[in-house]
Amino acid sequence: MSGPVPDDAAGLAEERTLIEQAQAGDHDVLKPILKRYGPVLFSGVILPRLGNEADAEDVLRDTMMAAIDRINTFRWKGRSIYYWMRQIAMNKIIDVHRKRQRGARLVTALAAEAAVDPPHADQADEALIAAEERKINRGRIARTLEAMNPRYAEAIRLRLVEELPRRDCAARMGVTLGTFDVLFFRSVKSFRKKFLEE
Amino acid sequence: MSEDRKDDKLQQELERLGEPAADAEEIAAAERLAARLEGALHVVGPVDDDDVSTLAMALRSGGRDTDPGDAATDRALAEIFADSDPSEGEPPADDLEQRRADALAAGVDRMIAGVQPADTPADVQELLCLAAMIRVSAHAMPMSPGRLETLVDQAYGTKAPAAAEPPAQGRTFTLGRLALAAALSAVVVGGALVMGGYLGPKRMVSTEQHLPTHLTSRSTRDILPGAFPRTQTAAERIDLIYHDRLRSFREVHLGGQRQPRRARRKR
Repeated sequence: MSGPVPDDAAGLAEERTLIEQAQAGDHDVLKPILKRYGPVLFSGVILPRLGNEADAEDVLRDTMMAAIDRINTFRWKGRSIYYWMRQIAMNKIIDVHRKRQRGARLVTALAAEAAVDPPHADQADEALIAAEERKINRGRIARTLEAMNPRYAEAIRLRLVEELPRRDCAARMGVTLGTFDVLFFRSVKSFRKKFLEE
Repeated sequence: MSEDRKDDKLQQELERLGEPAADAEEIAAAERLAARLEGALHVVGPVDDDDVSTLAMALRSGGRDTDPGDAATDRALAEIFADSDPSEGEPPADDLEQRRADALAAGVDRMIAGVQPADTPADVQELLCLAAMIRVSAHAMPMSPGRLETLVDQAYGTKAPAAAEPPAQGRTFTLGRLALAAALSAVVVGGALVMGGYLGPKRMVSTEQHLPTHLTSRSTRDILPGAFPRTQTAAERIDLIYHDRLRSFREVHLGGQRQPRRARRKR
């Protein structure tokens, strides 16, 4: 959003006014809200759950379209419309995974996550919301890595967090390239198991 | 034997083997899996898709003479039931696991390089998706303001009678492409009608005879240029339709249609 970040009360009051105008028929007034929360939804909610930038953009656009389309069904509950849009986005993420025929456990885990509000679901400041979403994403990855065999966690850190080439990862772990590939494969499988159990 | 007594016996046997007790959910899952292994067509209750696909893949990899007790099946069962985090040592990888590891490694290479993923085996796709999720969670990947602006405009494009946006660089928009594809089809059909009126029915029939079938205009309802692979995204499918229509349009107007006309004039 352009301009100064409003404090929570002022931000919520402004949002509520805009939503009421949109519900009265002037959908264009939702634009500032979409521009305020679009980046947070993209990088904090959708992309970390899809992994693919193009799919994430499609989901964000569909989420915004759904928000415009269904604005009359939104009921003000004293908190930001962000959390309503986040719920729409989560459902669309699940749809993408279902369409791609991803594992039932992944879809179930996402559905369970979508069913509960994120902690501190009372912010109206997009910077604080973004920080909170980052914390959620990094926290669940870190918790899963901590629960894994340290060797597997290391393989994932080297390859996906530090983004080292495979040869460098293999050298750092003191194994051949082929062995590293197998280790990494087992690491991601192990991650899936722990991550979905969480 | 009643269900309760059967369960009691099961728990006693597990205890004798030094195994932890099984809860009702685990017993039900084990029974469903056992039924699947015995070839039951209808298994009551859900069976974990991942486990069944892992097992099926391992059985297929074992060849025609696969025996349920062979190494591939043992490995699959170990994958399903055992803790996949061995604290010491690593079991050797068989051919199947090596192939899957290679596919995942190649997929991650492409992902980090920002290249569209190639056709990845179905059983590796979910792992690749998880790898991508880990990666993007570890790195801040903000959206550019220009891209956001475009997506917002596009979200409104279908809601309000706004002017059509020009295609964005790189990936153009789904709805914009659909509209453009429809417009191109209309132009082709309109052009054909005008030509038909100008040249007369005989000329029109003659032109169509020289036009390859794959370049002829199709109904806007017939938007499928062939079977789409399941791995294709919606945007990729729209790309395909768009390019298919555009190519037909160009060849009809700039090449395919003029050539026969000149040939006829010579005659």
